[in-house]
Amino acid sequence: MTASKTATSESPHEARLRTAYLALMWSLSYPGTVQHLPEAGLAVVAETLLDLETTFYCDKAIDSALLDRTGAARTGLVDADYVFLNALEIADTPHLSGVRIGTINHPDRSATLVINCSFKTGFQLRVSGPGVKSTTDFDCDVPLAFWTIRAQLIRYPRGVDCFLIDQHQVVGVPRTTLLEVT
Amino acid sequence: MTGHRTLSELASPNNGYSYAFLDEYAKRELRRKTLKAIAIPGYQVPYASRELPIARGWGTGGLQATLSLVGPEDNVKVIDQGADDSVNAANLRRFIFRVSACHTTTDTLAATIVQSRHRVPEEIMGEHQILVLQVPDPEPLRGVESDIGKSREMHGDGEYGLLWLGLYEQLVRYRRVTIGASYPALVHGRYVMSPSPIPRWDVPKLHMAQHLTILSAGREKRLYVVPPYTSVKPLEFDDVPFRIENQRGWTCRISGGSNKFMSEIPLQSGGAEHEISDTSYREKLVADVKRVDGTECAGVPYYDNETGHFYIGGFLKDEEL
Repeated sequence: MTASKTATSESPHEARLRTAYLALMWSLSYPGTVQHLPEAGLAVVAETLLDLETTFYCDKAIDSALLDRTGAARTGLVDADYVFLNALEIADTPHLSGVRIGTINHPDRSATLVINCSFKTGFQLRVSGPGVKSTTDFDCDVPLAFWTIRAQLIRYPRGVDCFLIDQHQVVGVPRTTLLEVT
Repeated sequence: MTGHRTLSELASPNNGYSYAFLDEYAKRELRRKTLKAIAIPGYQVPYASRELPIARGWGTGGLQATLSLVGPEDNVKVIDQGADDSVNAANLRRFIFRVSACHTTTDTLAATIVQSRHRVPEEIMGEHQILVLQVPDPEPLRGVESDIGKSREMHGDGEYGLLWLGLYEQLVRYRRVTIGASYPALVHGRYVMSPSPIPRWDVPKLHMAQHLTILSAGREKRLYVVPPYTSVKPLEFDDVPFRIENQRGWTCRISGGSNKFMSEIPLQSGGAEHEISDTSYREKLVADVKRVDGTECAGVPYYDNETGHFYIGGFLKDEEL
């Protein structure tokens, strides 16, 4: 009997994707808290989530080459599983209120928004709901108009989930999170 | 042949299997589905359950969830009915160790990932710990609706009347609710979930828990999540509150502990003795008794050692059984 042929050492590539996933997982589990990605930017998030089975949309401000490399199919905004946006472009994104929110029987068939933004400026947001013991505050420069659209999109359990990305930092805002501007 | 390299030198090493057994696509799919499940607490997300070197129905759902998370720095604990040393738990733990080179432990408080069949540990789990429950039957409506498509619509409509009727019928027939394990619970006020066959004793532990709970059914290809700090309410009537198992007065024959979930050991004389089902906690109690310096290694339990009260006051309306 030979020893099982299994890789017991994690390659740097796999370690990178796993740590990025854990950051995304904890950011959705504890909304409003800042988690840390292994490297800055949207690329590692795209690599963690996208492959041939998924579709994506991204706005002009985002380097789409790194998204194309994942093998995921580029689609229009209303068909995309993953929507990559830049905070400053959000106001100019047409039909943002048309992103997929899932169906009542399949609320998981909804879009996930990945938004490039800054946590150093902007509005102070207060979150509560599942994953938050009482409330958590964080700053974010995503325009207020976006949060209005988000509120209109969520007809729980239908809705969209957001990852806010500032360099190495990620904050998760699942559809269950109540959000107010303080 | 200086300056030339052979083909085998140029090729990447053939490891046979990926790190943590599942290939990159399988892990990515599981991870995408887990993120959706966190965002919709209690909703059963379908996933492509992969082939594993153990048979479906033996913990493949929990195993896949663990393998999508585990890394070399993790400390993994696996329990089966509370025991770290049962055949199923020991084999799963050894498999996870072999394919991921993670650390393993029996200590609930030291573990980063606890994979479990049919129990939630007795010590309060903290933030950023993960509890992975192996689920044989994820559908709480199966007993009242055999058509999966219809039960999906019932979940969509929040139509749980038949579950309440089932509870009522049990009260009429037996004067009490007879469900032992898999007691249905309403998550975040929206979806009724089956908490996997944990005893009623363990269901309140998921309510407003600090840790993340991932429930995964490999054979049924569905996973669902109870995020931290999320409401989990076992179904109950206003006048007939939910009750945990009445084990008042039972004492563990090994550790002397009480007010913990016990295994009943039948005696030849016809009577029974009891042992705390959570073996790791039981061993800690035994070790604490032997200590002379007064320090304790056993963590704070969900149910108080002396009074038996649940740690969140007022959650169980009928604590004085």
